[in-house]
Amino acid sequence: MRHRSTPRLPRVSERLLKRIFPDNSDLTTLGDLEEVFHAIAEEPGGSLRARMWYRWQVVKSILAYVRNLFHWSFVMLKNYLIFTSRLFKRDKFHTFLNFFGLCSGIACCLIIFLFLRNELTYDRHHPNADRIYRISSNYVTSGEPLMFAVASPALGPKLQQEYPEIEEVVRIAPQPEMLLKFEDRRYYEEGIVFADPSILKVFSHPLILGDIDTCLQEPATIVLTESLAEKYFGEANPLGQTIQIETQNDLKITGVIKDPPRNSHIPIQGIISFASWDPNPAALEWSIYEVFGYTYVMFPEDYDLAAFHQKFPHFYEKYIKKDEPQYNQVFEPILLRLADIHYNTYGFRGEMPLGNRSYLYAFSAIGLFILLLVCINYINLTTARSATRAREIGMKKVLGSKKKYLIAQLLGESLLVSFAALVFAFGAVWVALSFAGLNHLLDLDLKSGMLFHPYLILAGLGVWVFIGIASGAYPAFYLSSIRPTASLSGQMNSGRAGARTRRMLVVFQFVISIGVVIITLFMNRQIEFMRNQDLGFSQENVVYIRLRDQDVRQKITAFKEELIRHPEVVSAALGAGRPGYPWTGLYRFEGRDGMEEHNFHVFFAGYDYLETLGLELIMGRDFDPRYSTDPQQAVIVNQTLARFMGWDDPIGKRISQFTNLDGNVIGVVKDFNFFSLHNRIEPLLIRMQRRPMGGLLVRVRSGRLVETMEFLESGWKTLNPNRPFVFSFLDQDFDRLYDADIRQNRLVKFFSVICILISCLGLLGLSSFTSLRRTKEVAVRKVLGASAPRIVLILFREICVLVVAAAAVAVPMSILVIELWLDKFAYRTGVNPLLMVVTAAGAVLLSFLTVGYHSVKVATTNPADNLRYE
Amino acid sequence: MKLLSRPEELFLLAIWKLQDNAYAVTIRSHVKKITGKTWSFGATFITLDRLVKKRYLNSYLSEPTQKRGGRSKRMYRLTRDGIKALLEIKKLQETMWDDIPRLSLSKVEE
Repeated sequence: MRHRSTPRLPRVSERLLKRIFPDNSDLTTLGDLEEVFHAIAEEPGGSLRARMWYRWQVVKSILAYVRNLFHWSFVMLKNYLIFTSRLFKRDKFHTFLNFFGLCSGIACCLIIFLFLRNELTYDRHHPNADRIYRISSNYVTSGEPLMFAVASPALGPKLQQEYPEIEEVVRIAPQPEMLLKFEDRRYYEEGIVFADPSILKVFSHPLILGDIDTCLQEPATIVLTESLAEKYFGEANPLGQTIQIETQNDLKITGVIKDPPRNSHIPIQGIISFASWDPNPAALEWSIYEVFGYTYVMFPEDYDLAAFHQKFPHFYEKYIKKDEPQYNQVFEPILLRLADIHYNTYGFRGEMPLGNRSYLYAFSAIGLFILLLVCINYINLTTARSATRAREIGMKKVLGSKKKYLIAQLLGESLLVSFAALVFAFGAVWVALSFAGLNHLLDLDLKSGMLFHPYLILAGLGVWVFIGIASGAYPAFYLSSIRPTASLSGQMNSGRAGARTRRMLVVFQFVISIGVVIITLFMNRQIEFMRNQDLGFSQENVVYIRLRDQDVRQKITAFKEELIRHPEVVSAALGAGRPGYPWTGLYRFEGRDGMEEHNFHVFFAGYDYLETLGLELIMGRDFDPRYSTDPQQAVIVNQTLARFMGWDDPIGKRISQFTNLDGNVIGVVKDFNFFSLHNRIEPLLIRMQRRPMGGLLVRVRSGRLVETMEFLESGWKTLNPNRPFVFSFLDQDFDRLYDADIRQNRLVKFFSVICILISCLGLLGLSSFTSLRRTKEVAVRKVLGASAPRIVLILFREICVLVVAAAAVAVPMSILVIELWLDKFAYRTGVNPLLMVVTAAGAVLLSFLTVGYHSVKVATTNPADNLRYE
Repeated sequence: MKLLSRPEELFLLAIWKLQDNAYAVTIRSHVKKITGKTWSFGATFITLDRLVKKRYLNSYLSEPTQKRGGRSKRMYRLTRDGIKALLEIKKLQETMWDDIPRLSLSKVEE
């Protein structure tokens, strides 16, 4: 038993000691110390002294431990560093090439990592993301699904009544751009939504100003984002201010939220309270079959979705069944987790712009390729330099260095260089993002601050280790196995060493580079092809002006008549839906056996619609004001629809929709592409609008466009003084459908340039070595009468063979990839062999230019200089 | 045969003297008692380890004791080589002493 007055050992110290005596597994040393501790403590007044003594032992042990740990590694490390730095100094050119290649490779990887991070974290910034689901609607007609991302506004509240476990329901209805006005500030804004107050609780939109419980309860209230509030109110406090929306509604600002990250599937700039839509909740008691906005529900943690579906039939009986006969569709809810929305492949209608996973894979592959290219450069340059190093290695071996240590040294060297490159690359990317407008160049939204996120630091370190080891391993094993006798007696033929591996690696590099370039050029070609393709309607010089206000729509017909009288205006027409942006609807068509129901694309047209768009009527007639029944009954279909229905004589066939259309086909238009060329031409019907809606299409002459636009603007101002004159050209609008492709193409182009650059850097370094190695050979050749061009040719032949071989491999491989990519386009360019040949020739030419500098230098030196010392 | 250094000799003698109770704490305090100098644990262990490495000492673990927080002691015992080395150095010293004129402080001229 311990004496009562005996003090306890200092706990922390004891634990520390246990750590640093790992070799004494029996811990007798600790026992010794403890015994002495007690001995000292038993002396009078010794308890404090004992404690101090014990701690002092700890300090001494730690110091000794640390010294032991590092002493020898420090000695050697210093030695290695000296060797490495001497090597670098001696050969600045190649060191620079190596370093620059590594830097650009790592920088590209960092950019790709940033991009991937941005893409893969869509909507993940909401803490509740895992339990938020969007309810989308699937309307099934005789087995045929029709999926809408949106749902009826009545669905959410009813679900909440029936399912007590649902914590919150949010309805969000994004609006097309809206005109906001405060005093003299008047702009169109995108990203304005109507939403339930619970949006602020379910999603994370931190309020800077305002009260989370009350701010969206009242009708006519709006919450703005920070940046929007600043745009309209500057420094002033926006709370309680009134902002005018769409020229007629005054909304009170009750809150300001932080700007949400851009990688969110619904971009939000402002939230108008749902009550503003219609203060009377009963007004939104629509049937489940009439969709409006997105509906999200938040379940409790660990909720089993099976329970939801199990209870759903009961819900269906209670609320939906009664409407089923009228619409002849069965409703099915589709629940999609928030984080899965951005990459879903359901093909919902009414979906926000989605991401495409295959592009993410493509970019990861490019990142990996670039890493490989960079590693190959390093390997080639290091092994080519082995002659210089062979003596160092040989000497070290003679002095007793083991192979193990040499490998460690050479690996350490590549790790060191790549670490420096990593740091440099981080800096370069940061500068490029913050100041040099890389985002603008690539049309991305990457934040330089994200670079220092742990994820990216970790990824960067991963890249570092990968490059360090992948590029250091081969040279390390290769160089460390040099026989010292050979290297020291000068028998080593430096250039030959590892030449075959180097050649293979160069071929591999060029396979990748040529392949990437061919793919890039093809993407380019395909996009150009789609943009220049004849779409079957005239898209040029058609101005589209959207109409938003009811009172303007009343006056628009007169305005249109006035426009047509102007000499520069060819024709004008009202229309809802235009090429690129069709509407959709469920219609009944006269089939062989009675009426069939189909969901097809629709344009709502006014008079002169066909003429304004330059659509060609191949059968029947156009809408005509002389027929008073046209607005109620006339429908024009496209050829595809007629073919789809199997109509031999389409004119007069019946088409109806619920109660609002009961008409006949009066004409057939020639097929035209009303969608991007990703898609085939689908069935389309054009029906007359009964009252003006949508927008105004004006076809003008191309000659005096500026004056014409001024004329349109002045006309607009008298028509509608409240709104700025905003218009677009049809061809530009149509082009926007290819935005995603163009953006991807731009990124791929950027990286393919980097690929080529890195490969050429490698080639440049390599060629300087080969030409250096062959100086004597060249001198002898010159003495024997070879001309300089002849010698350049001889030197180039070696590289040329490699590049041609690479092209031979790259061409079929890239054709495969292109075929895969082209799969998603309904209309595509053929694979053009000429393009392949041109690319391959370009690669040869580029390699010639790269190699040329050193070759020419060697070929033009005076042979006497190189042979003098023999 | 390598000669023992003085600390080594002291430690070997201490262990011989302590017999079955020779471990770091007792050895250290014994040497301290004789020389009047404090030996740090580090110095103690370095010397002991060196002697073990030279095979002059064997070490083994004792039963754990309560006094040391339930830890064992690392006990030391002289080997044959150790005893031989001690005897040798003793003989060497005796020979040296035998063969010289009487040594006394008074004989040294200041």
